[in-house]
Amino acid sequence: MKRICVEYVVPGMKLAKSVKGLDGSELFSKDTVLTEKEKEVLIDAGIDYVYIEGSSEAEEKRLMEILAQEYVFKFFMYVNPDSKVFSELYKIVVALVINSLNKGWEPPCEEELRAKNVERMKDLFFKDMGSPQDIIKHELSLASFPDVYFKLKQVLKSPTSSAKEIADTVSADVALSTKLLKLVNSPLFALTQKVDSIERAVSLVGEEELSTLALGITAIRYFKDIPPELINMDVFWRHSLSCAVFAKLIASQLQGINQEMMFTAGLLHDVGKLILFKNMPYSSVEALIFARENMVPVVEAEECVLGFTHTTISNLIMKNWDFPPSLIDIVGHHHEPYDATNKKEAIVLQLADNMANAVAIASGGTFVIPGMEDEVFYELGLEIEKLKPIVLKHIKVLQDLVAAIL
Amino acid sequence: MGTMSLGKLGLRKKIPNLSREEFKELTDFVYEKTGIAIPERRKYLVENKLGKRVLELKMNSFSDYIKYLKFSPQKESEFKKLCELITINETSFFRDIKQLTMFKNTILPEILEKKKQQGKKTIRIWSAGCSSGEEPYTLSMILHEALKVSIIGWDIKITANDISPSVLFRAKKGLYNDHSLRTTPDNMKSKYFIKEATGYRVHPKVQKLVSFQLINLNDDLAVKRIPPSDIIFCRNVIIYFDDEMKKKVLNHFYNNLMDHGYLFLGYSESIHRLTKLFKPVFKPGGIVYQKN
Repeated sequence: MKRICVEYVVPGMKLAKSVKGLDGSELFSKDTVLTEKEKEVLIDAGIDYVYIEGSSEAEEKRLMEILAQEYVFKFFMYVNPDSKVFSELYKIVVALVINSLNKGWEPPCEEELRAKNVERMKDLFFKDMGSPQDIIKHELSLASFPDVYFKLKQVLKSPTSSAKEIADTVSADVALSTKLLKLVNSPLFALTQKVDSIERAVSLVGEEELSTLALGITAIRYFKDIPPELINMDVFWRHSLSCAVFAKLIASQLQGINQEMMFTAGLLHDVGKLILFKNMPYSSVEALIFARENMVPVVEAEECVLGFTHTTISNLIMKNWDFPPSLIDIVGHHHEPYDATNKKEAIVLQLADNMANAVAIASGGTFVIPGMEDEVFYELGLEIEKLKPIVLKHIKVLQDLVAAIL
Repeated sequence: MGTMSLGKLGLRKKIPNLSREEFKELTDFVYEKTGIAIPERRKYLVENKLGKRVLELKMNSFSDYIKYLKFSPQKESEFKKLCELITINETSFFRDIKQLTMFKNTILPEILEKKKQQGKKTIRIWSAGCSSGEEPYTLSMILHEALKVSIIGWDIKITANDISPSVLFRAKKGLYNDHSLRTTPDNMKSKYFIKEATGYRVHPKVQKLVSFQLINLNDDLAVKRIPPSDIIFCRNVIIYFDDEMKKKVLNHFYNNLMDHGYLFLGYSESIHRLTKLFKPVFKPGGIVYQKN
């Protein structure tokens, strides 16, 4: 017996319990085999869940596989149905969802996937009456980026900087150094020996690389104060970290791409969204609702609702924070990698973002996969067969990393 | 992972291919008939959504489907089906409560006062793009709240229209589930809804003020037949139109509104780039546009 949302009923499923209407009267008795017709009545009646079973175990398994396919397909509605890359991702995700279902996971109902309206939040300005620059100006007047990053920049700039000086600067920030050590000791980095000091980490990972990682982790701290009713920050950073891990894993399969840079780019790829949530809360939620209703990616919904997107905001705020130009370029172009100076890196990030959205479907992810063209993917020179092992590795390392740095 | 064989599984679920030319022909047709502009970047979405319908009709290509849509004896009913697939019907009672509160506390009293002075106790409201009826019924409830028993002395009509027959069918039925009531305050729920086995039924006195019509905002003649309004609500509709169609619809609204009448738009629908026909009036809770 399984509990599922009415909208996921597959014709042929049998009621394991009777269904009662709002006023307590019985709508359908136990053992009713559901067809499209009964499903419609249940939906119209506003019944949320039903308990179902198959006529046999094999039949139940078959029905659950159909459910998994239809559930996952909805998230792939925006992508090219002929894409080899996304067909492969689709297969991987269906398998993940079946796996989750077997472990007792309940796919969230439409209603749970929809963003909730927020009524009290006030935006900085009404549509078309302000610009992204106004948002940045307002944001910068509220808070400044954590100090440690700017200190690190100073040290890196000086021609006489040493690993020890960098280590000292980072170590002064205890929370940051703890997280950095956990990060470099995770299986994602696959270092052969345990690293127990920042100084050692600097010498193993590199000065620039460690500073870049420090930048990513520091950024998380900056966004502590966003109201939880607007956006679930755990889910947000989980997606960002998931994207970071994918970006690094994909980069590790390719030549000449800075893996640490890609990790931080993944971690920061959606910071623009957070700035939007802080300054344009009502519109941001409207954009999320629009995205769900229309089955379009959030970035397209932002364009419709706000008239600009989070990537513009990311770009501006990172410039103001004086982040490394290549990082700004990659993050700012993860939806249009062709316009990036660091084109290959931006493609890696776009793929990582798609993959992070895809694997999240099996644990309640909300938004449609934004997609990318196969020709763009092929520019990486990565084989499609590599996607599955990357996903498996990702699943292995993500949970520990969430515990370590979020 | 990996126990089942998913080898044959693919994204293209037997649906035919939608070529660039077919996509253009289809979206041109939709635009001409409805004013809804579907951008090029949604080609795959259209393909995936409509592909299912093409399969249902046992057709082999989108070209066959487009011919069917344009020339077959079933073209009218198929066009309605198409509208259901491409329009969004998602709404709820009391959506954007800040704006509705502003309507109730500032705009409505002003209009009621003016009407009393003129000795004409009539109110005409147009809910343009009413979907499954939540908005016009909400407005009816707000009028009941504002006028209380004295509502008997008023002649009130709320004209509500949409292009999708199935949502209008639901609207006329007036039976809703929890989901439609998710933004409804509890006291409104108990006052204006009757709980039944299959949902919440809108109270007949709320229904009485509202009349529904199947109208396409791109149909000039049909739009001209809508009675002149004191207030127009058109929320989250013009966001689907391109600038040209937006201007056209705003002109319709201008012509329909009585002097100094008010237009309410969705939160993220700005028109000040498009027309000078309306004056934005800033109130706590949002912007309302007044006929100049």
